[in-house]
Amino acid sequence: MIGDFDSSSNALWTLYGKEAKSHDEARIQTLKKDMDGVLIFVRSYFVYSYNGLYHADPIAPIGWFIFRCPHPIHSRQ
Amino acid sequence: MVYYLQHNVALLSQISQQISFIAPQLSLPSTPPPPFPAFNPSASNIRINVFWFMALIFSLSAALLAVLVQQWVRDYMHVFQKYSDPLKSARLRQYVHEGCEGWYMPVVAEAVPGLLHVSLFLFFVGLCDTVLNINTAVGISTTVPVGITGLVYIFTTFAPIIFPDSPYQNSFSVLIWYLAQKLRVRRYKDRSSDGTVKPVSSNIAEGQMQLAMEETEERKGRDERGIRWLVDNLTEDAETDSFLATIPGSFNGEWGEEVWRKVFETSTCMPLVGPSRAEKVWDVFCSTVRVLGLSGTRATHSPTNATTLRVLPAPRPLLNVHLQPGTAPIQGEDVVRILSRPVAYTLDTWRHRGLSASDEVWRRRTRACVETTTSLVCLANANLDKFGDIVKLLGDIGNVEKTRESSLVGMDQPFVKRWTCLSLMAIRWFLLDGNEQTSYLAMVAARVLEGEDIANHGQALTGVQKINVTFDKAWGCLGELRSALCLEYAMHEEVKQTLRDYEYHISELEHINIEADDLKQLDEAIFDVQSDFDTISHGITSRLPGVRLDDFYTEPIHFTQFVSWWQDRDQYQFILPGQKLKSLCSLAIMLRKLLQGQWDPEAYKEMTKNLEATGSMNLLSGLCERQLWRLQDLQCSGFGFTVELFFLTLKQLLSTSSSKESRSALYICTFRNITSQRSWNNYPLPLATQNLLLHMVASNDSIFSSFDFPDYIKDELLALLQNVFEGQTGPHIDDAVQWLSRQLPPYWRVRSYRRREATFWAKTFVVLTRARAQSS
Repeated sequence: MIGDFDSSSNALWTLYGKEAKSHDEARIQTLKKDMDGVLIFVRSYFVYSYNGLYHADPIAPIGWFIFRCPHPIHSRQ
Repeated sequence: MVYYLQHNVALLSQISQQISFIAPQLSLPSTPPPPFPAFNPSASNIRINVFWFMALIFSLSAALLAVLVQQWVRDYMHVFQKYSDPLKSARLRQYVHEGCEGWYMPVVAEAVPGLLHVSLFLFFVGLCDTVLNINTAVGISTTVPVGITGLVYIFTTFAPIIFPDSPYQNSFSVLIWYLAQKLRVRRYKDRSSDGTVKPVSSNIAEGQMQLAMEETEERKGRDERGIRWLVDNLTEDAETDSFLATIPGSFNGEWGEEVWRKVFETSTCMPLVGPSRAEKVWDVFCSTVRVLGLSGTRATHSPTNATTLRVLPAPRPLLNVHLQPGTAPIQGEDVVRILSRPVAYTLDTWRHRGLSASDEVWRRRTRACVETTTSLVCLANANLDKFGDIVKLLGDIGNVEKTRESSLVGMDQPFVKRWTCLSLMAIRWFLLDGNEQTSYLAMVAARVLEGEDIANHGQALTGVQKINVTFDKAWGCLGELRSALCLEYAMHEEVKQTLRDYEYHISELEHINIEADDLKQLDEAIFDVQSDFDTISHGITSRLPGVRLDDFYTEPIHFTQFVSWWQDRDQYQFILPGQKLKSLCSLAIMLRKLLQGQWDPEAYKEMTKNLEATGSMNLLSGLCERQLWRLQDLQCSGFGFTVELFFLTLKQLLSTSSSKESRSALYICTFRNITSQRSWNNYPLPLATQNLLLHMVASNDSIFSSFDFPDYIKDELLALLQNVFEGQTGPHIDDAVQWLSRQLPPYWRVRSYRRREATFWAKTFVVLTRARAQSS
């Protein structure tokens, strides 16, 4: 059987849309917040490690490192 | 980089050598710098780098995924804006939504923070490794906090698996929960399918839902704390009002009642949270230890024992219930106080409002108040005085809601039941408070019934005896006529012949009819008591289900009136004996007409049918005596009267109610309330009251022989009898015991004799004989 709803069913689907929207929005808001949290975390992490890279001390005994994290012991004099 | 460094060094040494060629006279020390040490990364260096680079990669991929997820989400939400046609938009949403779920988008999104956590811990491990290589002190002071953090993380991962209500969870607990549920670790009793045990859902959120809805003792506790929390947090009056309106609905059903009872029972100093989680953790720890066999047999606290104990019902102090109801500690007082204040206030405001049936708000409010008050009084043992004078309100709402009519057809049952119970209690306390008018009228009526010459002859019951003799005579004539006139005599002549033979009886009845006019004064006196009582109770008595008020018959009086009264005679507490006699004797008038030749076959047929319906046992003679007892009882606060009223209404309520066991708590509470010792203002109870009670349990015409009351209320009544008749003696008790002993089966038939009434009679017999024995 092939056919379709006619325009009189619009009320039902409007309701569906409304319900779905409120339902999805609630879920997606939490999802978005989670992702924002992740991004903020990673950014600070990355900035930190990039600084470490920039300040890397090439003559230090572990100069083999390219990536280093600054640490009181290793900070440049 | 290292390459460049080495290259620089090489270049510099080359330059130095060239300079020494150009200027040899300058004897510079031409020692070349020491060769750059060959670089050999140690194992720890490699480890550290592995950790840190992995950490970097993980965090960056988490960031990438986060950006992607945000983009997907944005795209997903575009669905709602793309099309204005609701059908298109809805279909697209469903399509996309199913894709989302099918492709586990939520799982991916859940995994992103997980990646970050992994990255962080990789970094931590690398960090610890680094600092441990450099300096032990710094290393340890770094490693220890990192270790603690790791342990906390592991705890939060597993906490929801062991304690599903734990708020501590992370991305990995979802995964572990899923795996655990695939192995069906946790099960629950499903509510929808008759408590079959099913594994909890593998989705953690859904699983929590299933466990929260599971029907357990803990859920009752949670419900109770929820309600108390709500009560605590209601601040504004408007909120309290809407709260009150919602209470009655929550009482329908056993669960609601039990929860409320707990709310009232629990003292408010109890915390508003369940058992501490620390205790739970400790319990789990202990049981684990026990399982591992480390604690041996010394474990004293076994959870299985505890549950068994809890399941066992507490032994009920059956016989002491009536002795100290007032002294029972009222706990949860605050809840009661908080609730009763607005109820009393609402009752007070609405009481003085003009009553109009169309006032929907008034109706709804009052209904809610009545139901709440009943519950408060019944379940929380609250004092009715707290609510002020509610009798008028009960009468008004009973009038509007047509409680009697609803009870007949079994409509609106929860409300009718609560209204009835509250009304009974209100009447009890109202009678007890001493309303002089009723007791005065009752006294007058009792005097009339006893006969005016009581002072002269010192003979009690003269009036009653006189009436009884008349009743017996009338009943005898009726019986003779009934057996003489059968339906078979359809022919006028036959009937006439028979009537001629029985003319003596007819004229006797006519004579009684004239005599009955003398009873008019008595009728009026009793009618006054009845109507006065109804007036001061604001019409409650005429609204109580299962109770009828007698009335003067309008002339001409018909025999059918007698028949219809006869069939419902249980429901009348007051009887106008003169009216009864007159309506009985109206038969004679009809028969006399027949005798004189006015033959109407239809009327005759109907008359014989009515005659058949009157039954063969003479139960009239006791009526007046009981009436006298009732009146005497009303003079001293009407204890027996109310108990009778209770059983009358209960009979009606139970006969229309679907299940006999339902609402037993409400009835028991009401019964205990109206029979509590606070309501006996003198002990021993007056003779009339004792007589009424004895009649109720031990007589052919008693309500207990015509209706099978449920056991819970029978037990309550027996307990009451035990208290009332303890140490009492008298011919009335002897009579009752004798009657009961006649009902008991002979000893050789005890085993086969299983009628429920007989069991009740046997119990009553035991109670009464024991009470009698105690006196001697």
